[in-house]
Amino acid sequence: MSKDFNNIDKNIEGDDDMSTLAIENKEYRRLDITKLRSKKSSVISSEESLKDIVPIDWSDEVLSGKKKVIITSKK
Amino acid sequence: MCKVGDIILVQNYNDNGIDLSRHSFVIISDEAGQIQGLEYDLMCNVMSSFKNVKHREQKLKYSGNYEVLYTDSIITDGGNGLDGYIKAEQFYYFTKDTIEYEVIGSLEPEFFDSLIQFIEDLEIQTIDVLDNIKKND
Repeated sequence: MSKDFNNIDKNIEGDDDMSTLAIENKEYRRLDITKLRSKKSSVISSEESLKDIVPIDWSDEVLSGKKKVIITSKK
Repeated sequence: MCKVGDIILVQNYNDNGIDLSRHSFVIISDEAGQIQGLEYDLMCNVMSSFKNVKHREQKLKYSGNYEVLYTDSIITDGGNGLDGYIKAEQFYYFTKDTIEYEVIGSLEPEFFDSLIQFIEDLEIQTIDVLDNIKKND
């Protein structure tokens, strides 16, 4: 499905209520599971997978639900 | 209820001494499926920050890690100022009704799409973490 990000941007700039609606209406691309399964893979434990992961130290406002993280592309 | 593109923080989850609490995950699929005969309805990538500059350089050399810059992250009215990465070649499988989580945010669809493209283009071995669904047998 094609996406019209230019149109969405216009909505964001134009009206706060509309921007919320526009963001909610944007669709996420679905992962092609078949493509993923065609790759060579292996299984490891949670312990092994997490041994080098550094949990993100979110702010108290995020942890308490007062603020939401939105990660957006600047490109 | 969580959905594709959400960032969740797993709470109160401890399996065989492995504590997933405090770890942040990006939901890349919420469709039910099976892997190795095990049912799941949530596929996630874990998020990580960097310990230091050296750790950052080391991690970003690895082709399976998808960088998330602080400048990419908008936290309503502020942020924590830290960069990080999404471990894009490792897939954690869950069933929604067996984990406690909190939705703390989301990836904007365009950013999410670029992550999915990155995953589909990976030319390295992927890794599945299944022990969070095995216990439901």
